[in-house]
Amino acid sequence: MKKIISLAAASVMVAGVTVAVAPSAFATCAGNPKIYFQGAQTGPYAETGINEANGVILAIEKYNKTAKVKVDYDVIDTQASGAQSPALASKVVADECAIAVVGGMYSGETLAAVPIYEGGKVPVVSPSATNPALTNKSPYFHRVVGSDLVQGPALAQIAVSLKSKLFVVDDATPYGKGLATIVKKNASKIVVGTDGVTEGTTNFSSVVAKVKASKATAVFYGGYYPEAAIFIKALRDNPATSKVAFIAGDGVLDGEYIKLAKKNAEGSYLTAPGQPMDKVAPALAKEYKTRFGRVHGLYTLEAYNAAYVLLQGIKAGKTERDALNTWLSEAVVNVNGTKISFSATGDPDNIVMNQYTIKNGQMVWVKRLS
Amino acid sequence: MDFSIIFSDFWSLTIDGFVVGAIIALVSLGYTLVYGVLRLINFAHSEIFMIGTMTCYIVIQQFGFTGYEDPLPLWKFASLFILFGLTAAIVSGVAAVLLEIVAYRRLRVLGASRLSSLISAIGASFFLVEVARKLSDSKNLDFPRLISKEPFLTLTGYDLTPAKILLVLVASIPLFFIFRALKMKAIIAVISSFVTSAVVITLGVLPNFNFTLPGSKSSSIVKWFNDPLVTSSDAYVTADRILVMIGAGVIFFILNRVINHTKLGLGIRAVSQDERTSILMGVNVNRIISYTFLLGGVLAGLGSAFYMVFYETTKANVGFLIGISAFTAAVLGGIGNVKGALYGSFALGLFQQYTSAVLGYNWKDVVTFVILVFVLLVKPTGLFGEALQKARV
Repeated sequence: MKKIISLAAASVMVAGVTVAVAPSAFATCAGNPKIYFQGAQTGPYAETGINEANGVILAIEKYNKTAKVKVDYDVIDTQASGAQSPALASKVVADECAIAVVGGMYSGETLAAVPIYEGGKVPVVSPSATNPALTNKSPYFHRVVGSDLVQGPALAQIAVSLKSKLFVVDDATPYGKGLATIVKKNASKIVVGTDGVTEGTTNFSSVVAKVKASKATAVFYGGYYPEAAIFIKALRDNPATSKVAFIAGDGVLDGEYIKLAKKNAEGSYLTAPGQPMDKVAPALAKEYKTRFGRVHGLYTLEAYNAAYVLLQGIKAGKTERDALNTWLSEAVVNVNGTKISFSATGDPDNIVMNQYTIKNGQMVWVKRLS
Repeated sequence: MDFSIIFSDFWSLTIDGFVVGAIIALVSLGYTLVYGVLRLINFAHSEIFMIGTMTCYIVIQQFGFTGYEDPLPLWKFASLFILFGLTAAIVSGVAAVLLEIVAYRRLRVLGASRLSSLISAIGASFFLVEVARKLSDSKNLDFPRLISKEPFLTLTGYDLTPAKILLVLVASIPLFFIFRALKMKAIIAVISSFVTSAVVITLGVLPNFNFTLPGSKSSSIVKWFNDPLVTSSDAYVTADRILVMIGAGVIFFILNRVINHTKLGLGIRAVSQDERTSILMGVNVNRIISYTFLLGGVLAGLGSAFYMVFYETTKANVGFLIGISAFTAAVLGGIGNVKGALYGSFALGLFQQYTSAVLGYNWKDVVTFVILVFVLLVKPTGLFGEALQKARV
């Protein structure tokens, strides 16, 4: 009930705020143009969000060293929640200095926030939201990673190549459910069972019983790492399912997953459109470590690249939201060995997909899938 | 929809149903006790449970365990469990008493309507969740593995054939006469004799025992009798599940003694039957109410210790899902009624386990609430509400 009340309150607030502040968005900005990051800075998903935000900060700091027009940085902490992101997006729209947004981090919060950004004509470049529903969502939405229409088949391919009997579980979020549906479709011949859980659950015992009864040899989990860590523990604790291969998408690929699941995470089959930063841009990875005192995460590089593209636009004199957005649709930017350009749908023209695993408590890049 | 899983994994689903039910029951009792004396749903009770889990986490942090690779020896685990279990019980109990003083007492003394108390309960719940969210950075807090989760006991899988069902039926006949000789009622003797023989046979107590009907192999009737209807798979009973079930059983026994055989219990029963008359009889109602909150908080704290050993994780809003289940169980059994909360919790735990296995996890709440509405339509006081109304609690 609490959830329902807070949801209702949030949507009422969103409606109110949008109407109230939208006109002031077109006032002129007194200071420097500002790039916002949208994602989790606190909460269960903060690990991914902080590593992305730091990527944006690094790009802006490097740019400001030489630039004539300096760029400011700000952040909205959505905790990766679609219930919170619209209200915070209105705050960005109302900030007359806000010129662009890097984000959102996850699909659900991005789907909820993009219409608000479109209302304020704020160009958005997401480093990691992969849900296909975002394709063609708005002329102001772009992303530097391929959608789950690429990731899903890649995951299905892994399951098929393992010659497995596959059990598919999703967490009923736009990302998890969406990815699971694509995997099911592409691996339909080997799927022996499915189930859906709710985000935030801890009781996986009935799901494990179903996996056991289906005699599956591999499990795909469409969802994020907090629940995946509990699920893999439950699977490994049951002697009948302790040997199943665990396959999951980029929502699980995170340092927190290893921390929470411990040795159970070892050998998981994980994919992500994110590139291994230490392989693709080792110098930048080192710079990141000295600047922030921590190792980069998945999507740090993508966040850096997204900010870099926007900064190139500002450098080219596009200091208005609309002008920058028009510039984005034609831009071709080379950064860290990747050529970034956007198709009319907002998806990138150049799509990569990588396979990772967990080995000795470390995230390890296995190979490039496409 | 696949019903075969009910048969093939009956025992693993049932055991987990009892474990989940036991944890729900410990929380549910807090709702029902408070409702009994105050006619108030203490919506912040789920947060008392959350405070318990956080206490367990903080206590165990002091020992610096990673604990996962090598579970502790039994005596070490037992002493640790008693330590953090009791600490959680005390902290939760005190928190519940403070909650009553801060959020409810003043409203009650001033004679405010029940609705104000309800809103202040929801407010207190929000307050506690958000404070915990701030303090924990809303991260999932990871509890170390303290006890081995290797199977402690394996219930061997078994082929269930019509021949064996026949055997169960035949075996229950002599059992029936034995039970009758022990002066059992006829209907109870029928049920117990059948259940006993079924449990002995399907549990795989005789794993290598293979009963087949004699006769020619070509006969289709004999073949039908000897072919398995379903094949059940192995069920694993781990030490943590045994701990939860036995521990909760002991707690329920003690609670029963407290409610029915102590002066405090007498006071609680008196206030829940008639507050005004209790005052006239010299019962200090405020003190009884405080003790009731203390009792509910202690039970939730103990429940949180079992929860942490079983699930090994907590977070700021951990109370939300379990609170909904516990509240539902209390209403299902008849709120204000201790026995009702207990049976309601086990019924809910088992039922949710079976429905999520058959229909899918996401359907379990849908089915649960359809059943709840149906029960309340037929029997508005809940399953046990009316029958025990006179001797409430």
